[in-house]
Amino acid sequence: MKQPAIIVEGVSKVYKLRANRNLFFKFFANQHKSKAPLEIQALTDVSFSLDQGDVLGVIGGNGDGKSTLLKILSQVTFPSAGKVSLTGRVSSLLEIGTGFHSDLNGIDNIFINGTLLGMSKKEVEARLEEIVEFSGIGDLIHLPVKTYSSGMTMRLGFSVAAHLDSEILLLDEVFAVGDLDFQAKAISKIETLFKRGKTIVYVSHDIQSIRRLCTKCLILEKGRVKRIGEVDQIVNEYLQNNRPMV
Amino acid sequence: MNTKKEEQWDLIIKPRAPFFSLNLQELWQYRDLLLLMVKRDVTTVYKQTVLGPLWFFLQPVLTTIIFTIVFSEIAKLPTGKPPAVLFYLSGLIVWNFFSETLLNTSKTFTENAAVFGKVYFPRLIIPLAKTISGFLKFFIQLGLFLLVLSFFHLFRGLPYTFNAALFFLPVLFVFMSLLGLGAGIILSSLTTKYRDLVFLIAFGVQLLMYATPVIIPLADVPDQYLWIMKLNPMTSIIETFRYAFIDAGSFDLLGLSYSAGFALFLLFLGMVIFNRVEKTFIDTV
Repeated sequence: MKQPAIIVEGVSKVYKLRANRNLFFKFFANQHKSKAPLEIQALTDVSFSLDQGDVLGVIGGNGDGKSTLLKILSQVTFPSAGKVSLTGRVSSLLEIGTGFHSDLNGIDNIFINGTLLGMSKKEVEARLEEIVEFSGIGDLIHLPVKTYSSGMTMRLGFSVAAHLDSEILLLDEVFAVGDLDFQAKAISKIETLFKRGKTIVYVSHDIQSIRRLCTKCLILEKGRVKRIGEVDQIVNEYLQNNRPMV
Repeated sequence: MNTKKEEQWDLIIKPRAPFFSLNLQELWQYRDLLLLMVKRDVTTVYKQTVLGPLWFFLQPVLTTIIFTIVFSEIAKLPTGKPPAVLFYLSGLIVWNFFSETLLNTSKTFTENAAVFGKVYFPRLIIPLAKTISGFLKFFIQLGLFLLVLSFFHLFRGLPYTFNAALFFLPVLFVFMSLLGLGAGIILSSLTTKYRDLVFLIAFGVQLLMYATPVIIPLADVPDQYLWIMKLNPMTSIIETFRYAFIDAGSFDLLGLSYSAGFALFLLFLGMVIFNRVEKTFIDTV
């Protein structure tokens, strides 16, 4: 019997925009002419549920609410209405290398980044060797991160992220890092993560990776759930409706 | 679908934040992050500088020298029984701790917007780390003060005047930390809405120093201005600090209780506002 891991019920999100309050600006600009909206409805009544071990791929165009959904699940922003219930430790990867400090060396940054993502210091210590090894940064790990190339920084960030052991992972297209060799390594690492029985929500534009990695698929359109179901069926429908313009 | 009761979930995300919530259990879970942040703050402040940790000492030493020359030697302002150097140095390290804690914690949201937008952790970790790293710096400066103090005792014949008020020091330290932290998180929350405050805070804190006995002993303040000094919750803390070490200042239980009450009130108010803002901040950057 599968246990529910995530239940999303009627979640909506409205971003309220603030008018410019600069006194001088108000005086000079004729605000009646402005047609800019004061609200953006990013999500409308989104509901779905995931069991433990489900891997959900979320697809949709730009501005359809994918990132907002991930941000709500990871508590970075809060829903305007609705409710989300989660079981298990949640780690969200909306960005790689969050909180890296350029003056600190690789090791220090692994610790800060790992604890930011919800690991304890002990857990980071236990995986430290593996993380350094996987990043392929070698002895440079003892130098400040500002001496790294941007690709190396990304690889280090990815390595920390790939060694998270939370029950729920929220991922926002984090694969395209490093050179080709590292990308291949990263993808196989992610695949083993995906197959370890974790509950994963994965946002991506890459339909192929969704088809390969996910068990379920959700299509967002203008902030609403358009379709949700088994991955093959949904992806096929999606591809038929959105033929790439060649 | 919804077979579980609310208590069975580890986490429920809902729109409205409760009026006051202090999730100590969660803070405890992130204690490693707190310690690493403190370490980061302490080790990176003076990186890239030539003098490095010497800056911990240079700043109070130089200010004390200037104050002694300008206020004591030239303007002939009284400093009571103790030597002017000790009088200014004692006031300055306490005041600097407060003002720096306030300044640093007031930047919580503006400086960490990028991280806050990408990952969740109890936001309170950031101002707490700033307060603790500030306190470590204060502790080092306290060592400097004690060194200078023993110099005066040993070589300048300054009589030993330690007294029971020393036992109050831990209490003083707690309340001056809470004052800085409380005021800082209130301001950090308000700056997300009113950016003007960024400019106001920076020199406001400098001006506020003149409403403390850092430069003029409370005993020498004319009656018509005394109430302003007494309204400042840092006043009785600086007074007690001096009273304990250098036979200056005063020991006023009523004043201390006022500071304690003020600190707890600021902290409570700060938590309420901070709690609200941390949930909405990312949407309004």
